[in-house]
Amino acid sequence: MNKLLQVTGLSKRYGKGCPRCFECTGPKYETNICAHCGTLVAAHNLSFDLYQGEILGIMGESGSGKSTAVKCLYFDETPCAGSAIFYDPQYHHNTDYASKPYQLFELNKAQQRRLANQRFGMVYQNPHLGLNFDISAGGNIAERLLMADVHHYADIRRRASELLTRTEVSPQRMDECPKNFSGGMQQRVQIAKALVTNPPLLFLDEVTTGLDLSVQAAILDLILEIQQQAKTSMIVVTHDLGVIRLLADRTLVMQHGRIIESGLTDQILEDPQHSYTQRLVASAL
Amino acid sequence: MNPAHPFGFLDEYAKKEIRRASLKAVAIPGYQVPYSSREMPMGRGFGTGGLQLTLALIGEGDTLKVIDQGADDSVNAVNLRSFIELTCPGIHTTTSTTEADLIQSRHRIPEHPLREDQVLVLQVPYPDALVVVEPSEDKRKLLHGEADYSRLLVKLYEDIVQFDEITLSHRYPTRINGHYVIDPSPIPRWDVPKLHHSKALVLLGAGREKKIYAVPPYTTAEPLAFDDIPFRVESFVDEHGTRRTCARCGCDSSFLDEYVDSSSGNAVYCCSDAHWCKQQAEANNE
Repeated sequence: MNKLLQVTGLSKRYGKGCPRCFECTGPKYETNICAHCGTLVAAHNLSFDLYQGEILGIMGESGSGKSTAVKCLYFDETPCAGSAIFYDPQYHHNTDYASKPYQLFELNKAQQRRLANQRFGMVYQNPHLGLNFDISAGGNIAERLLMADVHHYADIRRRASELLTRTEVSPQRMDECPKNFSGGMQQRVQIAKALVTNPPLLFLDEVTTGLDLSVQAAILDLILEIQQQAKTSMIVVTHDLGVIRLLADRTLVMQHGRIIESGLTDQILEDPQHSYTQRLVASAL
Repeated sequence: MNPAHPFGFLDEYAKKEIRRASLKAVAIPGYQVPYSSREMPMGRGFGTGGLQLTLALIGEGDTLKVIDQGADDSVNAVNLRSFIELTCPGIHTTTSTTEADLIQSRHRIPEHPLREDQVLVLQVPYPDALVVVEPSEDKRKLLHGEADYSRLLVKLYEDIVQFDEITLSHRYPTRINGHYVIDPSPIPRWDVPKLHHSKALVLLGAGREKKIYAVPPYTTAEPLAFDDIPFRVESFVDEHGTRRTCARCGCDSSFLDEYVDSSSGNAVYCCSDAHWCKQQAEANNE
């Protein structure tokens, strides 16, 4: 297995911060707000690896820092400590697998934006974050291609309609604004937009939250299908144990900004070690 | 002449600043150089950006032409010309494109090709082409810095989806020297190719927005377009597919304005560039 992403010691805090922030927060103190300076420690010392074609689940309650971790990796937020290396897979004719490593947090903003646009994909819980509601669904997808220097109108149209077909949005509705779409369709357009540059790494932040059960199932099916066809690696953030069970190969459990348990999904769900995970699994309906 | 103000109305310091900004604009083609646009005795939006450039550049013995929408005798042109005549004693004014050293223009580039020794000053209402897609100036500067104009192209994409062609009639975003995209002031699409490898220096001044930028001579100016849907200028063909001609001079190769003939109610087409039209009519008579 080829490593795609290696995150070491990722930390993010909101506030002015003091030297004692990290030692007085966390699951042991049942808070992520520093008692000395009031700083919110959203995530501390997160370390994990992601391999090619793998789906990594990040599970935890609201405010446990799951989204913060993903936002840092997608450059929506700047972490205050830690490093992340992205091994960009390169495919050449007649050669074996090779990869080009990027130190994610040492790149300049322009390089970060290029990487986020061309090599990463992001699907937000709220489609308003990922889509521009003033332009058509096709235009939203075109934007990412245009940013990646594809300047051929017919190619862009073809690619956008391909992607919409694949995500089961009727290509006839390509020229409509996403604001006329249902929530599930908006989410599908977001997935199509994220996939249009064939990114090796996809972030999914609570993609099924707020959708009804049948639509949830269809979206999860779609995600699995994409993963199996394109061997896209994914990081799935959710508080829904069902999503984790269905999608994730490995899972991290987070609480108060720390990883409290990690391992194979089956193991964590069947034999949780940490008391919080035990409660979480036991409370699942 | 009113001795209460110096030659060119602006004080020497102001003129020096505008010249320095112009030099910087020439050095970085298409880059919008900020400057402290002075208060002029006319409202902002009446061409104060172009006027300040003209006043800073003009000297005794220079010949000036002022155009408004191609015409020398419309309100904006007449007022600006008389103001410059009043404040710059010793300059000459003309309506001829070929005789002018300095041409200040609103919304048109003359049809007659410009020469290397001429300077064209354009009045600009909105200098930033990105303003239609990004309201924050901070973010626009970032996009300009990275030459990321994908959102403008999305705008064109949406246009083609909706109308099967790019419907922008003026202010067509144009990439200068392979990097910065400018708003070439409200010149029609017809005039945009004239910027490409122009022999004359083109300076653009926005008084209200306090920006100066330039298309230096022999610099590439490519209108944004798709690889398979190239940029097109106005075709001026009628319903039978023939090119319309000017009703006054019969020219079939100029930018035409549409008028409604008050007696017959029909549309009449005439050259927009008054000097060009006169020249063509004279040539026909000979």
